[in-house]
Amino acid sequence: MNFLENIRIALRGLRSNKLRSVLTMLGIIIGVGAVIIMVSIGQGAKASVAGQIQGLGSNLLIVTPGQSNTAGVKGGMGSLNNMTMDDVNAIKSSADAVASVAPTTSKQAQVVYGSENTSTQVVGTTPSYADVRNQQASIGRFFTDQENQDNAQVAVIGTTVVQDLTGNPNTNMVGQTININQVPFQIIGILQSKGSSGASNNDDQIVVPISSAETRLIGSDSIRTIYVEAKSSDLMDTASGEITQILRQQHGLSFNATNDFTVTSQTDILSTAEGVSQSLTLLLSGVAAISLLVGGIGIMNIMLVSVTERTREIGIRKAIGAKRKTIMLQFLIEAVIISMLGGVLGILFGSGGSSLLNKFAGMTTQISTSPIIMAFAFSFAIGIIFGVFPARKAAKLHPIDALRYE
Amino acid sequence: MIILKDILKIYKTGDVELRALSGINLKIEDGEFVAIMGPSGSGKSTMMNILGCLDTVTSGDYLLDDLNINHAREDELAEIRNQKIGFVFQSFNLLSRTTALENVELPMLYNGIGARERRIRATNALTAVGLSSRLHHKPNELSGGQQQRVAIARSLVNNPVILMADEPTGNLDSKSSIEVMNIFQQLNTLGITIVLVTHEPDIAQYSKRIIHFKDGSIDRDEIVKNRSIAEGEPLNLNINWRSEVAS
Ligand SMILES: Nc1ncnc2c1ncn2[C@@H]1O[C@H](COP(=O)(O)OP(=O)(O)OP(=O)(O)O)[C@@H](O)[C@H]1O
Ligand SMILES: [Mg+2]
Repeated sequence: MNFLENIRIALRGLRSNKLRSVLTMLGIIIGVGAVIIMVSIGQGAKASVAGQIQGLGSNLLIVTPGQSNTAGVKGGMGSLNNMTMDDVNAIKSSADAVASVAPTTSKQAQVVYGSENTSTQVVGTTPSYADVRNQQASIGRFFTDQENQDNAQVAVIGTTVVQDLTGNPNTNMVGQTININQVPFQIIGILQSKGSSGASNNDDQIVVPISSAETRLIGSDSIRTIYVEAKSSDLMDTASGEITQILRQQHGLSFNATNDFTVTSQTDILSTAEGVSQSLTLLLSGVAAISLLVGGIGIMNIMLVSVTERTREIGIRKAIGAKRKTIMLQFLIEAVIISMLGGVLGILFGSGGSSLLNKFAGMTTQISTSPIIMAFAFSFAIGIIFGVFPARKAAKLHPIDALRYE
Repeated sequence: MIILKDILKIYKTGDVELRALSGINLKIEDGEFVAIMGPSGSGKSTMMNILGCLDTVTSGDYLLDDLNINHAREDELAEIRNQKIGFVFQSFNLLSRTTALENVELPMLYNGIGARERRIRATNALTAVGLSSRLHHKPNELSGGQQQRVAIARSLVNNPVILMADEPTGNLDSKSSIEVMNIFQQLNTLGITIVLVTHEPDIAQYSKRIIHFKDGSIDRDEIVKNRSIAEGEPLNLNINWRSEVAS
């Protein structure tokens, strides 16, 4: 008996019982969908972490006010405004393992250019920011120490802001004047585009001298984040220790008081991201395994029902010459088709789900061919594993008993 | 040719043993047209199932064309059924969701005949029994007589040497019954051996030989005198379904 013929017979059977077929596939659809989403989140997280590290700059330590609960997860961030320029200078002068320091303060602000306006993040910082955060000007230049001391009204702007203000990210706006919260700033440079990593878009920001930001835009001298570049990757821990020591001294913390700031390194960020994606992966693998099992049992169940319903058909086929193996194959193929169709729908559902997560939940997801091939293999295996028993039952029916069955 | 020697068939249900056939000795030559009659429960269907290789004997020998069926395994029986035997049942036993054409193609599906030749031979067989205009109808769109003719076409496509019909007219009115008997008589003239079971004496009268069963053994074996001839359309054999398309 022909293989294609079997597939045609199986498809006809499935078509005549559409609702039942879809319900049977549901377990497989959910299982395979979960596998796809799971893998796409895992791969997306990896890519996004890699992007973030590149985006942050190398050998970077991040100092933020407030105590962190667990590594990298900040508690009460922004509730304390206890970091000052004095802290920055202390780190700069006393920490040996530190190459450079860039304090930042930031604020969401309204930017107006001609008749266009947009809202973006304005970051006030020092010129070392360009090196520490690896954010150079691709056109024009970054501002200088002199300009920072002079409270100069100059700005380096990201390409997304350029896009929002002119409709084209490639417009050369150097020399133009924009109003940030009604304060005029002259554009002296355009930031090199880095694309977005995770939820944050590195191109959607304006960098201005920290002095100008504090006096003209924010009105206070609190520092939100201090970015510190260690001299080498081996010195990250040393630098972190030095910074902690210096800041505790600066803030006059007694011996047993907890830190009122947090020093985070790239490794912390990386492990946090991986931790999150790992627990998600674990959860989804559980969902996937259970749904695939339930899906498989569902297929077995429906195949057993189908064998019983079609006992007479089996009898007829046997009477006119179908061998055991032929009947076995027919029902096995049917089971495999159900699970493979479920697999295909699951792949579609999973891809859709992962792009929805990407769009609406701000998660970076990535779909590649290997999980899709894996899903195909999985659904094939499930069809075989759970289809064998019903198929054997059909194949073993005695032709006369089967023909007599009402 | 069929030879039965001391055929015994015992059904066991729990502790109860039931002798459905007790010591059948019978010889059916090629080209015969045999009707089996007898009261209900006398073992006619049991006999037919054994002759049709659907069931095996408890003891005794069954030779079909010099092939001893006793020692055949299940898959070998399936092959014999497929190659040598055609079945016509009282309840038609067509696949319900499947067209007449596909039903008739079915036996050829199991002996590896290609799709093109399957289609040709099935069409020819259906044409022969006068159903050329009903190729794509499903069983529930056909009358009982038409369904039985589809079943006959199906039994013919693999060129069987013997045709087994267990009460083929049991579910048909007298007109359709005569149509079926007409087809059988013509097939018999073409050389196909026919064995049929019937309760109706007028149906048996279309055969050439009547074997009477009683309590699992042969009670009487007679040659039909004054054989009836069934009126009806001649088989449409312009296109002979038996002509081998090169395979
Ligand atoms: N699978 C079976 N298990 C047990 N007993 C059976 C089985 N099949 C048939 N029998 C018994 O064997 C005997 C012969 O049955 P069979 O079906 O051959 O009768 P029959 O002559 O065809 O009757 P009818 O004219 O009613 O069709 C009956 O007593 C029946 O009950
Ligand atoms: Mg009977």
